Amino acid sequence: MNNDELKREYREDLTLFEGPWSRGLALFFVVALIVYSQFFAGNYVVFVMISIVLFVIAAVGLNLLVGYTGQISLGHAAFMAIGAYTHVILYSKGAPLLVTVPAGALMAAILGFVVGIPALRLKGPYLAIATLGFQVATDQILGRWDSLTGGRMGLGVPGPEIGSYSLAEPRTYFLLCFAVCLLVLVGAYNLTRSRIGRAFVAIRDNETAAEAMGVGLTTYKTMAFAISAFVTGLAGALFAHLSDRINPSTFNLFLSIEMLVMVLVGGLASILGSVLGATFLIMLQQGFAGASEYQWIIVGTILIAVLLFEPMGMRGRWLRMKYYFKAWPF
Amino acid sequence: MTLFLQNLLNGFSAGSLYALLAVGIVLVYKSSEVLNFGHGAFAMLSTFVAYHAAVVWGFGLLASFAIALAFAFVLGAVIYRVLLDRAREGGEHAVVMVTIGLLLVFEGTSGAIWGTDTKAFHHLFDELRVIELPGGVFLTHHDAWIIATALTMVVTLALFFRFTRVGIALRAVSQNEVAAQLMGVRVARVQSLIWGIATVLGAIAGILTAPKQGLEPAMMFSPLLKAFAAAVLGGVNSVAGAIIGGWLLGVIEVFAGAYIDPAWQASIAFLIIVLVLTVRPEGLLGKPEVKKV
Amino acid sequence: MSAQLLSIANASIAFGGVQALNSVSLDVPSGAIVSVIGPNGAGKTTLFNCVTGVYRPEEGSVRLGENELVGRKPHHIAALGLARTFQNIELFGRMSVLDNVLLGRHLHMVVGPLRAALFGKKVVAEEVAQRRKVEEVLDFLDLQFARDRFVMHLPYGVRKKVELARALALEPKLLLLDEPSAGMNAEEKEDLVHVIRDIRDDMGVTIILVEHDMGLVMGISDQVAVLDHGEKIAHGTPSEVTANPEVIRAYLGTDSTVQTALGDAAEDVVKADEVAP
Repeated sequence: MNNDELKREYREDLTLFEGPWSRGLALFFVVALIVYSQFFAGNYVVFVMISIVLFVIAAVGLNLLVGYTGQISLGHAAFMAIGAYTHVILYSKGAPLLVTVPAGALMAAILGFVVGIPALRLKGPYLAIATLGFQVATDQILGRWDSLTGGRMGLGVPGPEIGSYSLAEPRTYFLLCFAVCLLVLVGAYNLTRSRIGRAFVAIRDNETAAEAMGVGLTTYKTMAFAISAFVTGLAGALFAHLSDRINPSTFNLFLSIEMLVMVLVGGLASILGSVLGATFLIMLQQGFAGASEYQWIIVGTILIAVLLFEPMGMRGRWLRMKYYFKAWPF
Repeated sequence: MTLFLQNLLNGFSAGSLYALLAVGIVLVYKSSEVLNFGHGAFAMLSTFVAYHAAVVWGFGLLASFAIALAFAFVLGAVIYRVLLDRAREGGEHAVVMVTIGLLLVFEGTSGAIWGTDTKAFHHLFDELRVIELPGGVFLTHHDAWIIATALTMVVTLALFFRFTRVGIALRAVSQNEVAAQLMGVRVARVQSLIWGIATVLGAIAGILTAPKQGLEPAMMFSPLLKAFAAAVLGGVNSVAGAIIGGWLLGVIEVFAGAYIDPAWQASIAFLIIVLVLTVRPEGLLGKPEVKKV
Repeated sequence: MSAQLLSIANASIAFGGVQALNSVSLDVPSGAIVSVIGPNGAGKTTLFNCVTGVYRPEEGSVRLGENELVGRKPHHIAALGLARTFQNIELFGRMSVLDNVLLGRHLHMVVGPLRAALFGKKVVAEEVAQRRKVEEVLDFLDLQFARDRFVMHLPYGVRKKVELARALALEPKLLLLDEPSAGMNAEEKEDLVHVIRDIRDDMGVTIILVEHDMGLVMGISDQVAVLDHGEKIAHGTPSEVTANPEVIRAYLGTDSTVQTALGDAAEDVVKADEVAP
């Protein structure tokens, strides 16, 4: 054992990074990604990078609910849709982007709270059906409410601007998304190691005991739904600018399933896992663009294999590798 | 009055398909606590097998159907044995997600083999010919087939589960798996059998759906969602509930479309899901599940 | 009625046709150790569940100090200063021992989601302060060695202790222990007796326990209540209860060999009285 692994104070358990190495590594990645996106990557690559960053945000949001709180959701694409639509509607009316993006997330959070209420009484498979119902219902409402949402045709998305500064250039827009992503990652990580995060995990592991220890199920389950929907809605709002139009079918049930795959393949209850899972799935989809049948076969197979053989996902592999090298060469 | 009866009959026909699918979902849930999101994809794949046997290999229709149903039985039983029995150790999320994984794999596979375009698969003789019933109500051959098949299956199943050892074993397994095992019930075998039967019911629903909707990888997706609504309405752990829920949902859909607004017909199922799960999660005939401290 | 910390009055509840509790009353004075005994299925755990809000008694009242508990949710009741352990250990399996016990401090922490996400100085200060308290509890129960282990990987006896630690971390006024000695060997039971006494004497916690080990019950309790078929058939000091013919019949049967066992238990009482200062 290294001497510097001995901790002397409780607060040393509460730092963001374990030791100077991981802090340096994280900083290196952040700088490298910014430099690469600004000076080396072509437009297509930047576009993929934006997708990855946004789905990292969305997957982290979903993981807070599924991985940490243990509540399944097949309706998270609907929260993305609500974030996107709210943002686009307000932004088209001239409200500033820095207001409308959080507004979209907030609207998603409100709906998340509402969905969380019936979810209080529903376990496992029932919750899966209920959130599935929410997903399809949202799709149909967005498709019918012509006056507000433009129906099946959807809405045109104006180019992103902050003040008079245009973000229409993909590499500029990437910077905004990346900044938001970093904030979400740190915020979500902080949340999970706080009293709130412990309450979430307690509910996941044992509702009876959590309640007996003073964790109110109503408060914390609806809170988990709201926070999760907020983060995913945030991703949705930013996602709107990836194309000229948004319409309901962009945010369909399969997108919800894709997000779940990201979370499960990356690793439940792990922020790092969601980063890995989202990156992996988006890259895979880019590799199979145009052959969606094969993409589904591969995604489905990976999903099943992970669930059966590596329930901790990619993060589990990572941890095992880390421990292996820590003990190396013994 | 005639219109009312006509709507009732149309709803009954649509509901018969939902009921067939919903019974499969409920049987699987009762026997192994798996909510099978892949149920529709299993049915779709089996229907493609019937199509392949009839159109590509040139078998007669009845032989093709027999091949498809045998395929469905083996598919259901083997999938349970190989994948889901194991997945259940990973908890309820793992189970749900494995069935979703199967849905992706099967839809992808049939798209890769048969293409994603919609194929016509007209196998019933003169399915659009109309029978006039007393009271001025009309029934297409196709609907007549659907209703007759559903009723036959319902009666067969009722007799089967009431009078065979499998039926008793199923009830035992659904109440307490460990106790059933200790009492000498071969639990895994009963569960595989139930999965096989459920998939066969799904395949029948698929074959009956194909002439109307056409054959394509996503063809059973919407019917499956409706079947979930039917199962929830009747109670996810009640077979009788699934049948009644299916017929009820079919009738409600048609009536909502006819008397409120046609746009409602597609959405009402999801309204029902949300409503039932909020007000009475155990459904009309189901029993609530309680955890003991 | 002076200084009754908990008073249960005429609590009744039925499940289907089974009358699990039939007008049970029980007063627990502040600072006492009270045992609830009775044959299997007598309604002991049901009584606990009615007190902690898991079940809602159909009739009767349960008061903790000034507060009526019937109709409150379990987490409200916990906030009033009541903690419990469970018959079949209910821990958070995929959390470390440290986090399990930290969760017991949940009610003593105030940080909301927004501040938690920012994790500023105040949050760190709160976490550190609570961590101190948790380490004290871990020290008290000799659980330091297991601090960072996952609960699901721990042996049964240790898990029972972790559950007790979690309940203590809540700093309850009243502690309900559901079969704390189940699955323990003689040595561990002896430890447990001291631990329970210390909890009462040093921390000032009132304790109610459901227990099957008569030696332990008779040695530690100030009062013993006996339940049978959902009814309270006796209540008094250990020696009163052991001498009660009703109890002997209901609880131990009429078989004379079993009564010998009861005699042994009575001897334990005498010994315990001698040891006590």
